[in-house]
Amino acid sequence: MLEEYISDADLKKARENYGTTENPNETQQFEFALNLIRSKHRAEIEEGLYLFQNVFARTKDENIKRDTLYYMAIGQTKLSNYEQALKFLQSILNVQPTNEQVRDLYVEVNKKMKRDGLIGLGIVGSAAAVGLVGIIGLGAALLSKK
Amino acid sequence: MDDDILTTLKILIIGESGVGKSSLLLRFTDDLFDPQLSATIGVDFKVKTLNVEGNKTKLAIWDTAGQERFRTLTPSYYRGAQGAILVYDVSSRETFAKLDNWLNELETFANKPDIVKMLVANKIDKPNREVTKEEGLKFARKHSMLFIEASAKTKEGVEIAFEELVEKILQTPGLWENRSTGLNVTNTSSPNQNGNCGYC
Repeated sequence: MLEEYISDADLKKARENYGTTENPNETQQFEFALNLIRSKHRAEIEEGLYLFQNVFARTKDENIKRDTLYYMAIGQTKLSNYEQALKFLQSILNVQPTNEQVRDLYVEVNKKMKRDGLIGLGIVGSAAAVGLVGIIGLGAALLSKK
Repeated sequence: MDDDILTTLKILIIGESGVGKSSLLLRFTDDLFDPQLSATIGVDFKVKTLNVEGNKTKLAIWDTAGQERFRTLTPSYYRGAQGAILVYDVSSRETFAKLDNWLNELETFANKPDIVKMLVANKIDKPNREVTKEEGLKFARKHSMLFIEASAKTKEGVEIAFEELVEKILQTPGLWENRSTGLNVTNTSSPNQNGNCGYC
């Protein structure tokens, strides 16, 4: 789901469809939100997250609540808001600790977060290495002077 | 590491909710069984590499939930699939009767005409069987599908179901040769071998 995208044309169609629906019920809201978070564009993913939040607040169906949290986690991951995504997944796991699908996604998001973190560290790391080489170089220069 | 993989295949698992689609998948990919497995959220996806007659094949297996709110995912779920596993529960005649609907959906959305279909009769470990093996076999023959009886709980028939499906797909050249990653890999790696690498 993290790498699956909806085409702009299909999303446009879904938007037109949704726009003409009077008083959309929670299933219709859910469907449209699902299409929005499958977008490649940040603004639309954010719109989908907002709509999912509405569904979550409105529904009394525990399964829809769970599904909403899951897809909000996917949306947040696409926006690189990993901590928020993990929080949503954790709240499902609090109720269903053995849910394989949710655990798999949790592991994957965690991996992504660490990888992104490592890229950050990589830059810092190489800067530190350059600094260290400089110091060694300076030391060598001083030694050779003697 | 993936260099020796012949091809990547997209396989779907469809059927009524509760027939054990996710359990069959979990048994196949992780060799686990959980009687309390939670209902699938929308679409789930697992990858497994399978060795069929010396050919390493990467399987991307898609598992689905049936609720209406996920209907919007249906076209993308079926798109590009080379194989489909239709599952029913031998202890529930209703799940057998609904197979026609699933075949219809498959015909509507699957865009590869030669898609290989495997019918899996699950839960044969259960004592209260409602659908006989002969009925399953007859249905499978009528719709040119492979057929196997299985139990995700006892493991029986699970691995062989996936293996036979993959074998049949590999024997249907039109299904995978054109777009196989195997061919793409060869195409993209040959310039490197010729020394035309952009980084060199």
